[in-house]
Amino acid sequence: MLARRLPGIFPAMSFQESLEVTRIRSVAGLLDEDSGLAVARPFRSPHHHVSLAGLVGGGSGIARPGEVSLAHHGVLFLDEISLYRRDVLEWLRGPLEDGIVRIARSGGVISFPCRFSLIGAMNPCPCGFLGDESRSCSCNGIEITRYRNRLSGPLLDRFDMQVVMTRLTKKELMGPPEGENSEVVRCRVERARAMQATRYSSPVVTNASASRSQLDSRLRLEDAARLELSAAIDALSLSGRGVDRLLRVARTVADLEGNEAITRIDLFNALSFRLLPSGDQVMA
Amino acid sequence: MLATTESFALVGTEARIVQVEVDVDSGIPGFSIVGLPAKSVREAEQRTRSAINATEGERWPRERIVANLAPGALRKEGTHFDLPIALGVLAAKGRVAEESLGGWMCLGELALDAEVRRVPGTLAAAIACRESGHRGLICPAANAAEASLLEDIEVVPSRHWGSVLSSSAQGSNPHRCLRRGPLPPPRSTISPK
Repeated sequence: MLARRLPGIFPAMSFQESLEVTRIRSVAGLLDEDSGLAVARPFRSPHHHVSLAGLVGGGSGIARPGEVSLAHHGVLFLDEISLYRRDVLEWLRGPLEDGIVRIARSGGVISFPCRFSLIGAMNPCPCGFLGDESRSCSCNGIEITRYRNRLSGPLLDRFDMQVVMTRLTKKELMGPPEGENSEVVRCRVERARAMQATRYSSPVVTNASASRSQLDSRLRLEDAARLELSAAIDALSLSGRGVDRLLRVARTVADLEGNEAITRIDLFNALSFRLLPSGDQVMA
Repeated sequence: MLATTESFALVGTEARIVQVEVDVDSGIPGFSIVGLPAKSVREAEQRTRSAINATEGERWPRERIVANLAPGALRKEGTHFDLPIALGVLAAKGRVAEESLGGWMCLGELALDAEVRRVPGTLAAAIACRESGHRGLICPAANAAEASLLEDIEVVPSRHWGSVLSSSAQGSNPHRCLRRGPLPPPRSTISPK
């Protein structure tokens, strides 16, 4: 339910983005009669039996766009991500990095755009109660390790933010919804996006999509934050990609806070989203 | 006689322009289609044949018909070739003025009763249409909304194959001169009071 709300806090699509989304939907034969421009950002949640061609694209005959392309400029949600076929999941690596799927065929290379936000959800262990305060987990260490290993380390490394969701309390379940609605959050997101647009002098470049050189030349860290970063690299044995992703998240946190330079607090916030360095380290 | 109409083939999300050449010649009556067609394209024969026969005043020619989808090395899939093939057959027989089709891309699936059905990839075709400097698109009415997203091309929506052929001479409809010769008298025998 939380994942489904995500497209609602994204800024509205530009005409060009809408056109790209509509084009993919048109090619896939998913446009309804008389439906014109797609205005809402796509939200795709394929079942965990999805095939490689279904997820990434291709198939027999002429190549068709997969779920990653249908989620272009929107959200791809993989619920119970550990149930998906591992070989299918691993194919997400390239598209996640490049924002494009290239399918090589005898007749030539066919490409589909796929800039999407990937959201995965999984339980902490097979029984689902690891770390729960009210019930104890009945899984042994081997089971937990095997469960976690269904998601490879490199793939996990590509998730910029990892968040532990605790069980909802009775009050939360029965009471009126708390917290902000999507409109309020979207205003904040749009403000942060505006800062990024100024920084990169382009309305479409974001902290996530900026090139490394664009990011480096405009990245300002406070001294305290720089010290924390070097400590974190050692403590969490971050990979090159890990540091890159961490800085992009930290920059975004700073944008949301309205900070020109990344502060120590922003960096801490960004670090708190990297809970699972690899599949074999079980969190407390 | 030979006639050429234009349509498209999908490569990813991109539409490539395809020339649909139709030759109707004396010989053993039959229909063949070349240019790497998939099964869905090959089956166009049955649909276009019935659609043409369902049209007042038109008959499917009892001649040797060859349809060539160029470029021949590009694989083609989809049912949107029905409309350009049907137009090509009639143009080759001189029943449709071929020059009135120049600069237009056609796409659409035909039902046996000559209704024009929606097809995937219309927006991609519209983009290709604009980029290649074509005048516009003749497409199913159900796809008109997506085709009209681009402002610089003309879109002619058609709900029925008969409307593509014999739209009246009013307004700016480009098909007013599509069919040659006077419209034959209606087949129905209901006489006025």
